[in-house]
Amino acid sequence: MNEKNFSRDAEREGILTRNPLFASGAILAPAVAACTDFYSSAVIAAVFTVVTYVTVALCSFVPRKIVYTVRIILYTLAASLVYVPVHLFFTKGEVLGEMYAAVGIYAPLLVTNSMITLRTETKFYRLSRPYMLKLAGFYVVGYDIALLMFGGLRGILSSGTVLGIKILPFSIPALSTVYGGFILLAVTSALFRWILGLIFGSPQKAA
Amino acid sequence: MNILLSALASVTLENVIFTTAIGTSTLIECAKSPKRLLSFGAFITEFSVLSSLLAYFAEGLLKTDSSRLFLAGVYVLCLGGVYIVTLLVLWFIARKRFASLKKYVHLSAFNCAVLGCLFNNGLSGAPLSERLIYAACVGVGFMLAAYLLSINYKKLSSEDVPASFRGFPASILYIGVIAMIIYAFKV
Repeated sequence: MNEKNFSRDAEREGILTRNPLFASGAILAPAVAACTDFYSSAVIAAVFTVVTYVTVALCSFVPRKIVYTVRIILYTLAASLVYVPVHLFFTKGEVLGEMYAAVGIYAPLLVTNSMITLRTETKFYRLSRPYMLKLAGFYVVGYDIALLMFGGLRGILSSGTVLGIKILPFSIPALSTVYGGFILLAVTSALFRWILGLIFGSPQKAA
Repeated sequence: MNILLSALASVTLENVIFTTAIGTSTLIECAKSPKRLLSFGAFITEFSVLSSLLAYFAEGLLKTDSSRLFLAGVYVLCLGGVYIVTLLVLWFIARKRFASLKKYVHLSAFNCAVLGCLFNNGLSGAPLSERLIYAACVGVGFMLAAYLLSINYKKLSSEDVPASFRGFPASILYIGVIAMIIYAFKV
């Protein structure tokens, strides 16, 4: 089949059926521990987008002749270099700086995310470059959307407020803890898979 | 005695998975093959300890604020060095098992648990001995968490679990419950 016809499939795969966070369970730590509200999720999503997409795009030029082990070291090294300007950008502004500081080491840890260390070799670099860039873009966007939804929901449920305005008659502060993050992510992921199941058939097929 | 108690607390009550979630995706992958649990845990421990050792000396070279911007890159190089040496040693001492083991070496080398250990050590500014103990505790703690998950992994992925929860969601729910128990012990 022609790859040009796969645009919709790429979109569906990256955002829905193989969503890195909700369907595949990849890159969990920042979501569980650092994304306690919408703003922290937005910071993690921004760092993840730049570091992952630029690295995947740049490293597609690394020759396949190089030994696998060295290739992986080069990918993560490239990611750590891409991370430098992102770090500088976030530490410049006062408001951004505070939000960035709140996510702690979870931002630099994104240089070893599985999209760079695993999916590049098992999936992305086996495809033609234009299609790979499109697919990688959808995977990144899929993770970002999931992260923002999860962080937003977690913030609302844990504080009962949106932008300081109380909208819920209750709040569950425990959801901002690490165990609360695990439990909420399990529930949202199951809900996501259930909805996918309704759209595409059984959850197992969908995921 | 105090060191032993601290190490025990670090492996259980301060377990890197249950308290920081760092390395959870690798943990789930690891729990899928319980037979390899020991080798996987041993590799994670080895990578944490040896790269902490290298990182300690490398950090000494980064004296200015601008050079510390490249800390992540320096950690990656430390991990990369340990990664290459581990593969070479394995090739010489266990050539027959090399093909099956290298997958676990790869997963152990570049994951958040090991890199997180390096970052935490760097932030703490602790002396080398404490850093190495912490790194070993990260590896052993990871192994303990992987063992706890592997005990029930088959059940969590079985047909008895509702399809939407089967596998990954049930696994992290299970990890979340253990994390909650540990949190309750600490409070």
